[in-house]
Amino acid sequence: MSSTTESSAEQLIRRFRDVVGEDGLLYRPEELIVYECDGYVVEKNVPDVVVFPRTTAQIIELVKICNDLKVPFVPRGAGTSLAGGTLPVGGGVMITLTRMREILEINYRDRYAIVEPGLVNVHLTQALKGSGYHYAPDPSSQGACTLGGNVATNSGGPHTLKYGVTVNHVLGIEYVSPQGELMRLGGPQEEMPGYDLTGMFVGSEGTFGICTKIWVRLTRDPAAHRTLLAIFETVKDATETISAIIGAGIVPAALEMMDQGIIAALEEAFHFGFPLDAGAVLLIETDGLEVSVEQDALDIERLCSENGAREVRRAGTEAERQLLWKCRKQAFGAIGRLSPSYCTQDGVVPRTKLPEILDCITESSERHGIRVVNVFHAGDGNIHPILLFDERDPEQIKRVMAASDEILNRCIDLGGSVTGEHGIGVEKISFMSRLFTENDLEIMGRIRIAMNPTGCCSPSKMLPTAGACGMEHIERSHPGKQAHA
Amino acid sequence: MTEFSPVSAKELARFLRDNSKGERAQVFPVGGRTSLQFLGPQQTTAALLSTHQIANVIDYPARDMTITVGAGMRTSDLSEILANENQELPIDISHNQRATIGGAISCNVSGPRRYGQGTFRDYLIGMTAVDAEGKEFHAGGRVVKNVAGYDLCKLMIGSRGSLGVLTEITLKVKPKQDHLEAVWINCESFETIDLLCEKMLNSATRPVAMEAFTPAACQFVVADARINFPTDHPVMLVFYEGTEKELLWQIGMLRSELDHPGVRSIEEVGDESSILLLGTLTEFPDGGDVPATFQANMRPSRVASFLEYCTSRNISAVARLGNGIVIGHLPDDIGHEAQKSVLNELSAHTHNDGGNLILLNAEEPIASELSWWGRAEQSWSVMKTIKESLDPSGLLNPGGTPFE
Amino acid sequence: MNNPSPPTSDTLQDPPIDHALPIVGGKIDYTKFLDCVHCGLCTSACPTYLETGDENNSPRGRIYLMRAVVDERIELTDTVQKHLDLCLDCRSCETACPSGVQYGRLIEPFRVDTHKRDAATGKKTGGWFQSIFLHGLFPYPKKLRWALAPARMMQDLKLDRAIDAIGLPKLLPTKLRRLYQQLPKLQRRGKQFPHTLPAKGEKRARVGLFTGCVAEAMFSQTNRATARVLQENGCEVVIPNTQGCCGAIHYHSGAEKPALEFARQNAEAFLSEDLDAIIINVAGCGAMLKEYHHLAEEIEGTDEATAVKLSQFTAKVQDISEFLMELGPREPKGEIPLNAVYHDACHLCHAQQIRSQPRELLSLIPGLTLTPLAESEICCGAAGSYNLTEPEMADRLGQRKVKNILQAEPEAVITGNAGCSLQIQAVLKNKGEPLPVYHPVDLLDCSYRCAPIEDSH
Repeated sequence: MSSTTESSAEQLIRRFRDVVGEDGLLYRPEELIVYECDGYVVEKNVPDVVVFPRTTAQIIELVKICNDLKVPFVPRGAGTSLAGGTLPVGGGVMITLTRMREILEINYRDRYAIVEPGLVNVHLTQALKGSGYHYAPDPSSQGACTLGGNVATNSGGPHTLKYGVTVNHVLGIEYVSPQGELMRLGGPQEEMPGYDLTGMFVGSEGTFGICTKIWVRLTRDPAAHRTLLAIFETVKDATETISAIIGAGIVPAALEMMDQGIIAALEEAFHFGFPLDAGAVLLIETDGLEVSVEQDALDIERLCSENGAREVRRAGTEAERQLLWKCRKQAFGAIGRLSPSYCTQDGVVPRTKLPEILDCITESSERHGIRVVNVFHAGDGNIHPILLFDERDPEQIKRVMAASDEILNRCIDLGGSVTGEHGIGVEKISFMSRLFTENDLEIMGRIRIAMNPTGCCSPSKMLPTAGACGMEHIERSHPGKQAHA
Repeated sequence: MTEFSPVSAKELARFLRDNSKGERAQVFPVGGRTSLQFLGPQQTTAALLSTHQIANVIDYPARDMTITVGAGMRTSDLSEILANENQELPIDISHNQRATIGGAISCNVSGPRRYGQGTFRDYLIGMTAVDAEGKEFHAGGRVVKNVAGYDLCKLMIGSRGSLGVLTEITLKVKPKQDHLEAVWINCESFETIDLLCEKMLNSATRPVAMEAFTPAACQFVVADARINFPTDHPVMLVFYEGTEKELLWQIGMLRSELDHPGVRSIEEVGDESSILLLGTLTEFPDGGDVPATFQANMRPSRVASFLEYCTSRNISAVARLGNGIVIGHLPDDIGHEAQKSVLNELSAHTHNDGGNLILLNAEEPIASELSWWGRAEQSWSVMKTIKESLDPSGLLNPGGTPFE
Repeated sequence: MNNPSPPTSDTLQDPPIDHALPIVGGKIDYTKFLDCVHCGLCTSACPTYLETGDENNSPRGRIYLMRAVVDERIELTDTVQKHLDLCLDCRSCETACPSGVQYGRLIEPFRVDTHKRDAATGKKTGGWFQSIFLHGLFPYPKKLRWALAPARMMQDLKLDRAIDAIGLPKLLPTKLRRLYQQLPKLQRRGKQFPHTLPAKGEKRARVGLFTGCVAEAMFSQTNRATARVLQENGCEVVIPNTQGCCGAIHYHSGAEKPALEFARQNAEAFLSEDLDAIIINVAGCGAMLKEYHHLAEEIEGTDEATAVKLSQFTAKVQDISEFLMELGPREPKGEIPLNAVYHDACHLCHAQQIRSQPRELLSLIPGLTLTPLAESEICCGAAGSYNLTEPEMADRLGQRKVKNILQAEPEAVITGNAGCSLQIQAVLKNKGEPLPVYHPVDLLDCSYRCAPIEDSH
């Protein structure tokens, strides 16, 4: 029932209802609060409406209505972002894509699949099981995160060392532009004339529009793999081993490190049989042809021993391999045993600078009296220091913030970046002007305006000055505790 | 054509700044000028801006497996520097003695090994460029994993200097492979090749390249690579890289997997000849004085029938079987009208499947009468917006992009 | 006007919070909420989220809602209630959670509190169906058997088909109709168990057998099979006749006092015997029995002696498959040529983390092959009495499960839970694909006896 006194929120809801029906809408305050944050809980803001389109045509309608009423909108998948990528800054509409989750086509002959954005990463893997092919990017959150979200953040994972990140596996994208037009970039043909807009769309954190279809590359399964666990007396020995392995011309499929703090927590939780006095462990997986992985494994074992490994274990069966991976993937879950709250950072440094950044982490930890444990993608130089604290103590929170900033600034100084896989979102926005020059940001700003002229699509994300629709960026005041993907 | 070759990024930036404030001349950025003929009927008046003097190694932490160099570095020099550390950039670049890395990126050059090794999209992790107004900007960094900001590196790949001039490049590199070995598979028909491609999908081996030729191309390839193999039937080539042990095992496996009545013979090309052969295939797009050279982009499953059609028109064509890319030279003895109609037929063939056919090189009157970039895509309008926002006056490489 | 009027600012406003009543969930240990770091990894493990895509119907969302109620940020409105009621309590989220959140220890006490509030405010819940069927009939195998006798007679006389054909079931109230449609092929009641059954061969253990209520009424042959399999494996089997219902139906619908009563009764029945283990063959009851010690923690006024007893009882409870694999099963010899899929009952795989044992047992049977089942760990929609209280979602999940089953093209379905059997059988029958559904011990028993599978029931 429309009337002259209808508020804009009422009008929005009424018009949305015409598009998606009552079942596709949330607007009651007690249902909206669930959508006030994602995996990053430091900043919160409740959207005015959450809407669940089932078709691309509905998304076009929804975006047009948002434009009509000049309301900001933000797409959301599973809400596992660790950087506030789906935070509805300034309120507005949240377009949730979880009801668009079909695999539209799997084409083995041409090695691609077409999927909808709400498809959960692991569901694609499951659908491909047994075919000899897989979708390579495997973020640790793959059991929940959506491919649309992976496209938005250019997600990585433990196997990116050898196989690359999301952008290396996306062939094409269909999206609804911020003006409500249906656009198509790339497709199953590998090369098309003109700019690689598909490549730039990946990692644009939802600021270029709403992805509705993705063409992904299917990758041949490795024929064989070897999974090793090397135990070291010190973190230094472990990092030197990483350099030695890479220096020997071996590119493992995955190379992950865990330090003493994590080992102790894991041991308490799962009883893997780790020596509690070990300084660090490396989880190393090499894959390839059966004839070559054995040699790689032998070389890696030798390099580990030469660099002071106390012991190198090798998974003899698939079950043992799964167990080793379980200990890596469950690492964050075990943190709860060490501390009531924690927050993790996502810095990157050149691989050879790992010893330096680890020293910096130790120093920061001591200077600020904050305990830090480490578990990270060592092969990529992608660190995830976990800062332990009690969120009920505001003084500790301040120290955690200070230590985090110190570590990330050091990453920049060492030639690295403040985010390897989580994205800028709202969390890291203040670092952008340290990472980039004014010119860089201006160019990025121009591109954003070209793609998103009104700024109403995902306002206040990624760029410090972006978004006409959005409100002022919320000041970071609280590190929160996060699980890591 | 005037030409300016600055010795530093700074000088280059000054040149562009002065130009944008001054005479606002159109500028055509070049590297080794190896792809000039691929760039369509365009700028004859634009000033050439060459980066070839900006060719220093800026940083090469070999153990990080990344390298940062000036964009004007010759790709052969880059290979040599990397080889000293037993590393490589596994992208096949034609005319590598002259081509610059910046130019190769701007033209998104690739060769046979893109099947197993990927393209610049998989290797360019950081860059510095200068825009039309002389402002330096950069993106990415020197770390292999980085998701901060828009990935302008991707935007620059294949942009042909139309958005900015690359001055500094950071690449991810790989350990150099010990050996390369090609396997020459003489087939009954293109249908057999299609079938073998299907078999290769579940092969236990991991080829780095899979190629096929029409008979006309085959004769050229055999002569150019100085090898002696049967050319009377359609040929499929499979390349492997790795240790001797890996090659031995894979070739043995391949022989057993491809046991099929349509296969006439399977022969190993040999170490040295395989390298020559890879070189020949990499250089193939440069057809010299052929009337027209095209690149057709399609789904891999369409390649065999496309090659069959090419054969019927006596086109010398090489296909990247796993990538769906066919590069062909038109015969020069059929006259322009016939050449045009063949090109139109080929275009229709690729467009029907959502693909595209672009001209890499063409003589007049083909050059001015046919669409250089193939069928217009909806996304070209987005490209145009991007171009206008980064180079509003259209100073850089005018006419060098599909959407203009 | 097609559309209902849009909400006005009035309807959007929170009603004032009534402080006279204690806050629902207020007694839950708050640190259990804090364990959730909001990472969202649980979402896609949750069947109701998979179906609806709404995070209000996900574990993370429900925890957020419960916490917001406890924090008095929101009122426990019918809308919130609806999201919480839709939870199957399948515990799939606990398996997925990397932070070890004990979701069951949040939702269950929260539900108990909700029921208490409803009772205090006179809000009608459950109604006649809950009081007569769920609480009055189900927990008592004898009563239930009598109630089901006419149905079994009709089945024997094939009258049920005639009744279906003329559409008579449509005249039944919805819940009763669902109950009718859920009925499996009812088995003739097995012989009354003696107190003790002797071990075959060398005696390796003395175990108690928990026979359950619905299970004993509807699947009494599976109980007989379980006893025989245990005997076959050298176990002396004790079946105390003072045992009762596990209490899950009561506890999960908020009736905590009767639940605790059943727990006490069962602990006494089994602890008075000298047993190495207490064996259960129904996943849902097993999960409940293994959580008796939480009852003591959560139900106010439970005395220390009861708490100790319940803990002692809990420590001995094992699922049949878990127990046999630990004991080392004797090799079954009889061939059963069957291509089957195994559905992981939630209360086995998530609540008890038992996955490999049933599969390993089945792999011992000559001739039996297990085809992988997609989403084998996603709830089939049975979830205790859920299919009676949330029929729409139960149907959606049932259809989802059966679709996956039929894709695998099996000859039979195997699952270790009575509720799942009922649900899957009913949906399959509805679809006109009446595949048999077995319990692993049904098949194991046939193989030990070298009997054909037709003999299993």
